[in-house]
Amino acid sequence: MRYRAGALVAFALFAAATMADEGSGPYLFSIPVELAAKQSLPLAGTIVATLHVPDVEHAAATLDRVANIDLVAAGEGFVTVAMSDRATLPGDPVAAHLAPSFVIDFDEPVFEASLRELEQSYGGEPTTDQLIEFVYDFISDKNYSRGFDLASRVASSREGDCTEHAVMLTALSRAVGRPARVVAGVLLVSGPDRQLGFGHAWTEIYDDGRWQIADATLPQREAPDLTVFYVPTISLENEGPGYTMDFARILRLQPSRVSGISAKQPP
Amino acid sequence: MYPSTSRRQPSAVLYLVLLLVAAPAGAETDMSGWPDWLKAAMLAESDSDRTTTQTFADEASVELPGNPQEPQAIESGWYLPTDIGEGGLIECYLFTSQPDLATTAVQLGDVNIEQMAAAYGTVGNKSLYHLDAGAIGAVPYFALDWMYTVGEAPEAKAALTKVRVAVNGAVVQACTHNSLGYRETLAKTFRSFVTSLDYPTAAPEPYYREIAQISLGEQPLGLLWFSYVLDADGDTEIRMSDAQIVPVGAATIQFGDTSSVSYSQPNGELINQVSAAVENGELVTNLDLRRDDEDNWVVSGTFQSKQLEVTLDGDAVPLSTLGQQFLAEEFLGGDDDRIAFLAWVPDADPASFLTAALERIDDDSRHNARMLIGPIVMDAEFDETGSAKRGSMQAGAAILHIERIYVDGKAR
Repeated sequence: MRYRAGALVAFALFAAATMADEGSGPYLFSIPVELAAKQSLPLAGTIVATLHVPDVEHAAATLDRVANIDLVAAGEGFVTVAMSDRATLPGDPVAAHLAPSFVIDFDEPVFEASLRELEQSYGGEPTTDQLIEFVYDFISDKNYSRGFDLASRVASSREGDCTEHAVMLTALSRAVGRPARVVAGVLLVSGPDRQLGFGHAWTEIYDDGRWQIADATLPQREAPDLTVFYVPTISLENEGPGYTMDFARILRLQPSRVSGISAKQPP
Repeated sequence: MYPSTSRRQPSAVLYLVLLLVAAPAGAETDMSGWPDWLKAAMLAESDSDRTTTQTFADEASVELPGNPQEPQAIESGWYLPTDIGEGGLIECYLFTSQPDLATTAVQLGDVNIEQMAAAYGTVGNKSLYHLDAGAIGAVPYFALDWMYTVGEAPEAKAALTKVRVAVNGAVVQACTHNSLGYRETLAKTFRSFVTSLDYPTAAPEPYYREIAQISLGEQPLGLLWFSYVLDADGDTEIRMSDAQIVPVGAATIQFGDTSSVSYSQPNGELINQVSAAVENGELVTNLDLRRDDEDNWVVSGTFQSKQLEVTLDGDAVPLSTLGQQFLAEEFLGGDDDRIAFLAWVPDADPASFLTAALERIDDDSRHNARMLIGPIVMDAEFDETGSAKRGSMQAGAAILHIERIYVDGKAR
């Protein structure tokens, strides 16, 4: 059982990290989705979906606590939820959501240039939308070649995918005094002629007394006819050197497929 | 991530198509929709079966098919080209530097494509054509093929850069070829190059070694290999490496190598370990775990390109890889339903010892134990020596498979 300790973890985490940052690859990390019978597109408002997950108990407990997600049913290998497009994880902001860490290392000297650039663009008190715009523009080389880079690395490389966008936005938000955290889960995308699912990572910023979704990949700018439903399953809680193990919690929660997607019928 | 940009969507579709036509792990490529000229070019092979022994570096030799050219010493080893006739040169290399399998495969491909660009003009339409990971006997190897065009239309020509790289003991062997076709010729040349190598080194012979292949779905994309060597004190030196090349887009891959050298007491307790990781060609991790003068465990070095120094509980008794194998053997031969142990897994968390566990599985004909490391859960089949023959776990929509493809010796 040698795979166990060494490469098993390495590969599983690699898969997990890649899955979360790149639901993108249609081959490895997209999530198969199925609409409910007779359900037409596009979907909007509140939808119902069944997530087929490895750890039902954990997934049910997690999703039941998510704002704007209601647990409808849970059974062998699945949880069914009703959700709006603005679901966020629970919990109050704490000091760690404002502090630098091993992953969100905006205290590294290399990060100073990014902060100066942000201030030049939007002043000292940027809004959430301005932070999102800044990160979207800042990461000029949008590609899938990175695994899960630290904020200081993103600041110097300006490269990456959704995890790098999430890490960078979280770092900048904290640096200007706004509580923020990295979140990962599932993105369900509904358009006039397609329904898609992906692993994804994004940021939640605490604003106006609640956590709010802040996605610097700006999917709706890229495709404004789509409705995007976020299903958060984890936030990065261990931002120290053991962050990959913490991120691996997503392995037990990430669905292998999502079925029965439909508009929620009014009571 | 959601591939939201309009410019990404076509490449994703293209990639899907390319994966369908690519030949994963030796499958036949479906060329039914291809133009005749392309089919003919892709099916071209050399018909020569003659091999010639080439000597180099005084005492070393290999057998190469075709018409081997004069070996040339290069900075990091030897250049051993062979002429295969109409297909031009297959260029083989023997590198004596640090063997990073995946990194070498990717970088050799890049160098070859740059050379094609220098000779014929701009590279375009680059896409991954074929990826495989396997073993030739005790030698782990990667196969990586890139298809692309060089030059400007209407003179642009199609090219297929094919790279085969193996870690053979202390050296890395590679063969490359840049024209369309000649895939079987390259495979035959590479196999001959690897199996015929006579290159004396001072490396001690291991008493046990394994190679495992890692796949996501049906696509092989990684390898893990390790060996045990007895040292003068009766302890075991464990050399472990893994390599992965993961396609994440039509022409985008993530790649990396990790390697470690650890020492184990005869009872399986870890004595010390050094670990290094290269990600996308950059050394990002170089860590050392040892006991200090006060018998505490100390982790020091670089992790993700940042300095790290951590002191861990000196009373902790982490198991080496060898110790984990002993534990699995005893567990499967005993009556316990679960057994736990400590391990140092720098890839996952260099700043702590992780608690891992084995649980017995009685109701699954394919697996006899479940491995748990935090949230990582893998069902596996172990043999009677505590060696995992295969394992699988769900990773989102994909299934991660690990399968032992080579084993030699006895661990105990």
